[in-house]
Amino acid sequence: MKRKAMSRYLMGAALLAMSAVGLGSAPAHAAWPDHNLTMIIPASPGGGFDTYARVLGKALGDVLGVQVLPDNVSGAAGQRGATAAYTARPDGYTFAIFNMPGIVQPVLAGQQVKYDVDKIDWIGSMGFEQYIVVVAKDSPYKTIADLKAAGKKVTFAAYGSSGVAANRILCSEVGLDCQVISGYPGNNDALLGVVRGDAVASVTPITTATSFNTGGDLRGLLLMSDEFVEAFAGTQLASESGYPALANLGLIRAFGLPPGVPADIHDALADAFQKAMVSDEVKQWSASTNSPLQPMGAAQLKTLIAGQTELLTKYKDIIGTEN
Amino acid sequence: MFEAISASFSGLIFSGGILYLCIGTFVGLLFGIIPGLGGPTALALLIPLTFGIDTHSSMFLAGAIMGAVPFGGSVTAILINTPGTAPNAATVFDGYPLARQGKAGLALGASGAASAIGGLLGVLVLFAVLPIARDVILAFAPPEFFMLAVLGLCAIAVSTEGKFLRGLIAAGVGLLIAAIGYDDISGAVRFTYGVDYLWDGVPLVPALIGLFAIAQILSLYVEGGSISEDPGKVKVTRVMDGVKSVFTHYPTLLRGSVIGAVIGAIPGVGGTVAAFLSYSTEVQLSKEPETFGKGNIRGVIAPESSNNAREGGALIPTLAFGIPGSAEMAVFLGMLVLHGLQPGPAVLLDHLDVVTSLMLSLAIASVLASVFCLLVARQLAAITLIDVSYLVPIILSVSLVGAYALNSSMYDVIVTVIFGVIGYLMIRFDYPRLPLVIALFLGGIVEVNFRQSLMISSGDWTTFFTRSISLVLFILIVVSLLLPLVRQVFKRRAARSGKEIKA
Repeated sequence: MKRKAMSRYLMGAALLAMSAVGLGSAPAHAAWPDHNLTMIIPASPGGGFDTYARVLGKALGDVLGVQVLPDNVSGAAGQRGATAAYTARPDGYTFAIFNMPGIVQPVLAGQQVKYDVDKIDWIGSMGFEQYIVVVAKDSPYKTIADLKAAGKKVTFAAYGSSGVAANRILCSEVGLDCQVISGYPGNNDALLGVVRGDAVASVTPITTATSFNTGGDLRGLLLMSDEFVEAFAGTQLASESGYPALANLGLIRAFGLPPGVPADIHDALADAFQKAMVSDEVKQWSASTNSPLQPMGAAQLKTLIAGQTELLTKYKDIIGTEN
Repeated sequence: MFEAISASFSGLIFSGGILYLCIGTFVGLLFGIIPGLGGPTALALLIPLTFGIDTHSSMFLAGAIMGAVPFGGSVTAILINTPGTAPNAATVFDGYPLARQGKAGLALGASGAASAIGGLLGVLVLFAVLPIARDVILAFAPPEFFMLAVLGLCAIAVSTEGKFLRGLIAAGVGLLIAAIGYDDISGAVRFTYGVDYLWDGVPLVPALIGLFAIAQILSLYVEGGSISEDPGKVKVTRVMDGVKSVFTHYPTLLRGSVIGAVIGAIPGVGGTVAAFLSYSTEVQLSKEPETFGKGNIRGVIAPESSNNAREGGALIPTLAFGIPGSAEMAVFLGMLVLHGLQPGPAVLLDHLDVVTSLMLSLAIASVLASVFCLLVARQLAAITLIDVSYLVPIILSVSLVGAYALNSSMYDVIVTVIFGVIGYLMIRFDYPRLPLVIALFLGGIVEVNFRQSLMISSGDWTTFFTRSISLVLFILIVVSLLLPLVRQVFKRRAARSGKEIKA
């Protein structure tokens, strides 16, 4: 009887010891991911960042075998979401899509922010959306040179802080005397403003212009890119017109982790990210909605962010000025 | 067109569409009834679910939610003086006084029928306007948005419950609160005192829950008794009378629906303005404006018909330009894109069947939601007979959870509580609360569009009067403000001449 109790005690102790050893030797995150991931989206549901993130989240979840739950933390031009992601627990279960260059601009404008862009642990990017200058289809201006030659103040319609910055940077780089009309509730509203004559022109993401223009209300004036776009055939490229630096500007759909995530988890997530990007589901979505994809790894993404930050820094004085 | 419609019908009947429609209607009603939750939340929650189902079924689901939410929101507006969603705020003017008088059944019946018919009329307007949608949308620019918003502000004049000066003070405070946050035009941040949360301003829905639900429940608790002033006399059997009243007041119904559909179609002002506008129009056209705010059934019919009609109208800019006409539509846009449909004029050409499915479900859900609710209206109306000490914990917890669930943000709950206290103090010291809400909602729209207009015209203020639609709206504003004065003068004169004749 006593022996039996004794052996049971010993067995229990042995089991305990074994499990302790097991706990000690394997990394604490051996089974990552063992539960659902949270993806912070720094915008309200329905916008471009939200849609891209949700499409990726679904595919990423399929690759990882767990669900990726979107969490919309909108507000303050992406800053609230960025702050929430940056200060999240670095266990690999929370990552985010970041609004670039939206989160860099306040830093350049000298505002206090609660994140450090250089310390974000980048995973990769879904795309780099460059800009285009558009006018209404019946506008007398055909090229950017025409606008310059007009010799008067040119009005530009813009949405959001990134949009205002893009419009101002174009004007400075080209040397236009311009008035940026801000305050539109969305990119499409700003384009509608151009169509109905609120403003002469607008600098807007190429994809936005493409999807808006299925009715043919707009005409391209300058592609701030190095590549031609089918929907705006015949539009001059930035390099052709002598403003190559403008091609550095664009919205980057960048994904990252808070600083301090273990390297093996970072690698696993980055790997899954690349797999998700080439999944049929994501590709089909991209094709049917004309949403361009430019999958980028962490290294390439960092170079792109650096190039853009340089351009923004050059113009930091005009980005923050009041209208 | 007819092919598309028949495809939608067959999808509805043969491919399980009716099931999604019923689910959507039920979810929409529930989300409408719970203060804080509304169409945008319901749609955002359902977006991931629609991944698994085909596009048509998703449209049935989404359309049903959008069709059912407005009526759900009116239920709480009538019964406990708390608009379930922001556009229902105008319904509390007369809905709640009716409930106090023991006529909750009448008000619910009227609201249900007005919602159903308004929803149908809205879809009809949508069909009729689609071919000229482009021109309608392009005719409205910032000067017109500004004038429309000011016209909406004029609703303050009819919402002061006879306390004009106090109403103006409340509206002034509302305008000040509306100025808080990131200023989109200058890029400056105003009155946030270093609190990140305030960057986007004071959020409307938590403020609304505080001002109405929390404040009302505090006040009811202090008063004691039940919501209905004299429970002994109450008969909650007048639901059918309410339904009938909608037909006897058909001009009100038609006006409300048209205002709702048209304002809904204009991007940039939103459905809440439509509800207030149709309410104030009704008051101003009425021969006895003094009966409004005290339980006039037309004060329920006008905003509710416009609320449901607005969703049909709001689809126009959403589909034609990818510009959301309401908060629900903004989320819905994302859903379209996720399903591989790029909003824009092309949707109408390439995916007409999807659009007709959506319209069909919007129309059917408006009716279905009302029928659902009218079946249980008697039971719902009985809430007004319950001792409030039982209602307090339920409404308090549902409201606070609703405020939290909106964005999973504790800050929203704090805002709700702060506005609850403000609202209670306003009740105690006899200040009307609706002027504050109207100003809070419209303040930002008025300011942004005023400044945009001036930027567009290079500072020339005559832009507001040289554009024809803007000028017409301005004249409407002047008329709506002067009409009560003119009426008073005539009344006095008539009274005096009456006396002279007698003498």
